[in-house]
Amino acid sequence: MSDTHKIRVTINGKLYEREVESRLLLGDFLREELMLSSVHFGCEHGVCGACTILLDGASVRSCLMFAVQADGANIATVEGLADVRKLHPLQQSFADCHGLQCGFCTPGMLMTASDLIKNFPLSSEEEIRVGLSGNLCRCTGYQNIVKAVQQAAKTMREDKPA
Amino acid sequence: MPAGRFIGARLPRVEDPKFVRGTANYVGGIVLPGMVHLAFVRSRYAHARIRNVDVSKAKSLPGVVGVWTGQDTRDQIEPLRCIVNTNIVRNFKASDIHVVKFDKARYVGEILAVVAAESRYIAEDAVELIDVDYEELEPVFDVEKAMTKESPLLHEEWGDNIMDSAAHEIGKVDAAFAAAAVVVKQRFHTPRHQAVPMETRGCLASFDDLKRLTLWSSTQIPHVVRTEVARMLRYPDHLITVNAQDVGGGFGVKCNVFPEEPITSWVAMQLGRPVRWIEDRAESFVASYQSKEEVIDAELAVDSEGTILGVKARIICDAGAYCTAPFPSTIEPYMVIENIPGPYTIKNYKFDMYAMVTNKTPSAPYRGVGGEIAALTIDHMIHLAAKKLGKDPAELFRKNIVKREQLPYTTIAGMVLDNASYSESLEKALDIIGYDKLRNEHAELRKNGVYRGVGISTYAQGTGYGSKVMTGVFGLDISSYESAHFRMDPGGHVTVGVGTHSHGQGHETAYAQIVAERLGMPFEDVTIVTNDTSKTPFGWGTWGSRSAVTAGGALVVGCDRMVKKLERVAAALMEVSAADVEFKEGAVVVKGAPSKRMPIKEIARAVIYNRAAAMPDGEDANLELTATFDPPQLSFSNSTHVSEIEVNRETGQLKILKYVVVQDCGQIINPTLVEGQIHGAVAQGVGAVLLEDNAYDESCQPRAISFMDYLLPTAMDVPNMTVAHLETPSQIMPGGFKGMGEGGIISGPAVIINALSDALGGVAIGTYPLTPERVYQLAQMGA
Repeated sequence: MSDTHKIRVTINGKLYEREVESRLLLGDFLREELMLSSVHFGCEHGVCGACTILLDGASVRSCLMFAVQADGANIATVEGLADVRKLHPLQQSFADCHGLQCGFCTPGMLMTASDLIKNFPLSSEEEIRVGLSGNLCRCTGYQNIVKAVQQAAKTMREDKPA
Repeated sequence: MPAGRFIGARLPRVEDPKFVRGTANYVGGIVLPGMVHLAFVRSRYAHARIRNVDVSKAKSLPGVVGVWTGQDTRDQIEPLRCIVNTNIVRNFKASDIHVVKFDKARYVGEILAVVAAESRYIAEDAVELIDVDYEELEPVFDVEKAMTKESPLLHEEWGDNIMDSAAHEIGKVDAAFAAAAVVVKQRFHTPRHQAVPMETRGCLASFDDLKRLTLWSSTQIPHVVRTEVARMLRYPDHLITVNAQDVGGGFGVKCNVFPEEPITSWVAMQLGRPVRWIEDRAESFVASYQSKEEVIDAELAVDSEGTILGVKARIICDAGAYCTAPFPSTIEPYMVIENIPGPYTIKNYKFDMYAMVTNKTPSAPYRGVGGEIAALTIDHMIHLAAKKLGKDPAELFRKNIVKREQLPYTTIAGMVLDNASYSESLEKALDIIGYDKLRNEHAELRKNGVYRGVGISTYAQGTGYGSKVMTGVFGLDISSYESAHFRMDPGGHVTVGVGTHSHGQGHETAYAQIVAERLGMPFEDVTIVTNDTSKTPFGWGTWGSRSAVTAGGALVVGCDRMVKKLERVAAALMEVSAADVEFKEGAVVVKGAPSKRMPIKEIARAVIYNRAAAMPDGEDANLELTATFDPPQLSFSNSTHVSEIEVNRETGQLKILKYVVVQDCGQIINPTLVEGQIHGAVAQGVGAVLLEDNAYDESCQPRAISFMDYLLPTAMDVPNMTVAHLETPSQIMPGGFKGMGEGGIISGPAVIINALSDALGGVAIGTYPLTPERVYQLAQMGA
């Protein structure tokens, strides 16, 4: 199997150099080779959003990219959101608002929500619902996820120095 | 039992940190050294003889570790088998499922060959290299055609395609119909659905040098899987551990034993290497079981005042190709029969039921089993009867619902409705949504061409299926008690292992609330362990809204016994008579001398650590016990859903404006968790009625194999819900708990269909999902 490429990727602030097969999905690379098990596959065709990560700050589906396409990129996953002592405000809000049950969609929801809060005004509930509509959850009916994103947006924007 | 410090409190979930940090151990995230990956060749045809499976090319592909066909496994792995007592269920016919087919495939997706390789990528390459020589057979698609003499047979030895049938008349149905002012006749064809947890199924098996097999499986029933894998592999239970640590949703589909569980285990034992299989989504749509497709011809007779005189129903369930195990595919239609009379005072009922096999993925339990289709059948007919009589549907629901003073009430289907709040929940839901005001608003809006409607649905949900019901009524080969093993440590904390399975419900939190309350301990001093057969007493897992009732009951019984032991040993340690002490707020206190007391922490250290010598005769130096609770009969939760919708008659677009749920699940353990269950179940009901359809074409090829075909509700589709509680504690179950996990889905289709019918002047609606095209067609028919 000589169809491989060398890639350099920064993930959660750490630089990795690896030799990857051309067809290796970015999500499989993160899950199987780097053991970042927060990256969940719920459909492998870009609909459910469970595998959402941040790639150079934007939310993307790691099941729709090959690892080789991430060469040179800066990637963030849930593992990089917080340290062991304290949860990130988004994580805290999801727990406070009961915005999760089985937890499988949660990492993808958190990465999508962090992109939404940073890059969109989210001035109405409707905007949050539109923003989350690419992430499927089968447990919560979304009501408490929407509440969690509202609370986190408030906290994160208040905490941000002017 | 009154709400206390912990029971009834909105405590945050102890399990959340691992989920929000992404560190939960779902089977797909576990990577073991030397692990190989499985992929399956699955039948492309719905009905075909397997003449030959040529694996030679696959075997020689670099990276392939092993390839097996049904010929290799047929003598090695016993088939899946649902055992039903035919002295009780007389017409049931068994259908074994060989885990790898060697003779005939009966649905698209059946396993024909197994490949193990160094990576999933290589395993899938090898699957492509396997040639199957099929002899195509005519498939059975339609349940009514399946009944005819001309129909091809799935299981030739049966002589027909009827998996089970039943018929019964209670009361005098023909006389009731003869006396009716109005008769509603309605055909329902409910779509085939799937539970679709966001985590697909998956297995990881590891076989060690001590001959111990560990199977991680995404299942709701780890203990049952262990027992069944032991039987199928003819391997002793005590050498098998099933670990289902974190499971990404179940909703019923993961309470089956599936072929992949014994196969993955067997391959690990063949290779001596860990073996992992993760179902992909396309595979899941055919390999995970489906649910709820029925053709129902129903009739309702009412008098001129709207009192129900009688009900008739002919129910034909599309059971798919085989009977699932341990819960037979026939559970769904039997639960439809049981639940059609609902919480209504109906005196005459006649039904006949057929469970037909077809060349589709087998049908198995999915949240709200039977209840959802039954609620639609009866509640839509009540709604239509009101429209025919020119009355408000609310009036008919009010008139026919069971009143508090009639409880306990035995329904015409034989369900004994215990203490609950049927009419109170109806009134409260109508009040919250502002029913009378909506009626006036709608009439005004209609003049301007705005079409809004409001729908009502109520239900009684039997919860806490105990062993007597499982074996004595359903004739199954399984019991349904639950156990809790209490182990106190010398520090005075308690670890409780429970045999149910938590996959999102928050049992680690809710159960700890019960124990901390009953033992007067700090919440933090209680640890709940579930999901792993090596750490929990045998139990039946989580399904049928059973956990709060059965495990909750075992926890209450166990706490009471622990209190008794604490009293006995503390009395001995304080050198007083056991009759002179009582347990109060986490301590054993000498009656009349409150300063003389031993808190749990002191008792635990004394008993377990340093004063065993002071134990009286016959008392073991431990604070351990196993308590079991087996519900003697069902206890019924109840609920009313009311929803307001708006429909655009030109585009067929349907928008849910309001959705109100009033729920009574007895003593609430944690309202936040209860509301979360309702939100999620209602969302599934909304998906069921608006979007979801496991459609097949007439050759029994599945039309829904991706999320582009099978639409799940998104944040844009599910409305905000208003949830209110009533609390009528069960007088049957310890702690007063009733089950409620499934409830929210039960009224989903009925309430939206009634609201749409209301908006369109009382049009009858017999099928769904309510796609814009269907809604448009209904709008053309409606007034």
